[in-house]
Amino acid sequence: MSDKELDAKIAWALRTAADQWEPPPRVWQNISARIQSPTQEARLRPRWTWNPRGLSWLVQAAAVAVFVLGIGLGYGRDFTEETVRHATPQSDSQIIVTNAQEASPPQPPVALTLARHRPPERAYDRVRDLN
Amino acid sequence: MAALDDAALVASVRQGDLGAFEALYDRYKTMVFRTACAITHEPSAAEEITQECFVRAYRSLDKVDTSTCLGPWLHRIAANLSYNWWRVARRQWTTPLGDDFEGADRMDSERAAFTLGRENIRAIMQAVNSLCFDQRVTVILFYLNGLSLEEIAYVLDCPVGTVKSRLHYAKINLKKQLEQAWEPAPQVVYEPI
Repeated sequence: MSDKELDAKIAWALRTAADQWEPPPRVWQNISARIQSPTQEARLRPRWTWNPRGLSWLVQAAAVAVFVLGIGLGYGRDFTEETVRHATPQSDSQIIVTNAQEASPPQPPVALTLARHRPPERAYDRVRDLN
Repeated sequence: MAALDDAALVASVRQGDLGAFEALYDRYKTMVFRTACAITHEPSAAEEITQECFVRAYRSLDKVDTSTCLGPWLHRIAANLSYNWWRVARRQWTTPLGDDFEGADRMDSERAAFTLGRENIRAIMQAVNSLCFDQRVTVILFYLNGLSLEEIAYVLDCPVGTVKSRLHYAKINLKKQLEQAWEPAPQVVYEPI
């Protein structure tokens, strides 16, 4: 098939098919209505149909969010348990230190931030000195 | 002549004459609608694109250059709107690009008897629809609307060389697909035992 023949066939097929396409009268009615009331917005999107693949990004985002949230909560829980274990008195001397620690000014909640993952240094140092 | 008429109509529209805009609409509605229909292959989408195209044109008539014909400018708006529609439709899988093609089915018998048959038109339209978006729009603007390469470059906002390249590769793809579609069926030969 020569290029000229191909050109002629494509043009003829497209024009023959397009001869049947005419805009219906309601298009001008809609245009006229929108021009005279410019606040009316057009819906230039395909009609919504259920498509699981179209929502795949939402499912993926939810999965990632749950994963990140789970890691964050899990880290906080381990840290809290570790803090409690460090603060649990094991001997009489530590009880004394614990009482002294209770007398110290109140500390901010430690489980809320990742930076505060060490036990209170003042109590830890005193325990080490007594041992 | 058409450019002068367009300029006169645009001047009237700028003075608030809605009848002049309706005359512009009557002049270009078929062209815009057919372009949108050929690109999206969905009449309801083509209606919305035509509607939006003329509404945007009406709101931008103050900025349009009336020294030239309005056709390429309207084509540019329609092509951009069609691209936006196609991008969303591709994500939602609602474009029925493929088998059903109303134009070929509605073709009357006289035309079907002329040079190309209905099946050939269907094969050509399916081959055109299988092209990528850029090549498809270029083919439609070139063959259906008869725009020049410079006008297509303006519509698609790209260099003329890019238009030539897209047209060239589109023709290669079309030729390959049509030769496959029109390949004669193999004949069964029975050998004597």
